[in-house]
Amino acid sequence: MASKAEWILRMDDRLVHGQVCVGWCEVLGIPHLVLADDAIVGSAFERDLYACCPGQDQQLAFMGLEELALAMSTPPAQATLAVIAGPSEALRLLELGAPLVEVLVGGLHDQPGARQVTDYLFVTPAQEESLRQLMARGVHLVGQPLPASPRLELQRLLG
Amino acid sequence: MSAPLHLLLITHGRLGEELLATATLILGPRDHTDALSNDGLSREGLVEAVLGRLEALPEDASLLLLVDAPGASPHLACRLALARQPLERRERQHGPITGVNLPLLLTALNRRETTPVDELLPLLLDRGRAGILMAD
Repeated sequence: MASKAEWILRMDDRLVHGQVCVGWCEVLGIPHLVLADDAIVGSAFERDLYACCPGQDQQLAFMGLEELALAMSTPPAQATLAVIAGPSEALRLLELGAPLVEVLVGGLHDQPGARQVTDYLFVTPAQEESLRQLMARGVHLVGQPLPASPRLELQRLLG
Repeated sequence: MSAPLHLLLITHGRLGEELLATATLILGPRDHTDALSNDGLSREGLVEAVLGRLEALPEDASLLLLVDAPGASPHLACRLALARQPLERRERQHGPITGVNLPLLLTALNRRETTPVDELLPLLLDRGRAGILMAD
């Protein structure tokens, strides 16, 4: 099954990993992946590290956030799943002019100072503030680690 | 007999722990084995957990890392953690080998004390692959 040509933006502090390549792209027939991270795009070691992630029918590109914001201003040629690390990166994309309508929150894991929202979503006060800013600016935030998972409204979850 | 080769399995869920428990049923208890799950951990959280296990080993310990799916978070974290190790330790840290399965693990447990690491690693790849058959 091939997904329609559109951008899907996922927030996940593991970035590209099995759940992304196998759980999303393979299941939904998404051929293009973008790992958007300003540190990783500049690291040959990290680009090589993530190059082993995509399956045979998938292509992975590396971009900085500025490049992704620009790319998202036009529809992709094929369905493309872009992955960013967290809420501050999403806010940065918005500031750079990316037309963010919906962001899938796929995984923000536990860390010092974070509170648990769901089993795959833990937020620090700073992350929560960024998520609230995104929602206040009209971005629809949906908690959904996998295609078959229930779509949870972060607006409701965060209270 | 050479110094023991430690085995560390880094996997999704309880896979590593259960593989070790299953191997124990077949071979009996073995020392110098450990399992780490990616459950609930971010990329950096898992890297830190791997580093914690590596640094808990004696300075001169040899180690073989086994992970489940190539390109998945245990594999990535393992490579990131190894890249942050001092060179003198890195020389005694082997792998990661991806796609760990029971035949590979049993061979590692049985042969690690008698087979030099440079011969053991290709043997493990062979045994792991040979364990996947279309059985009729």
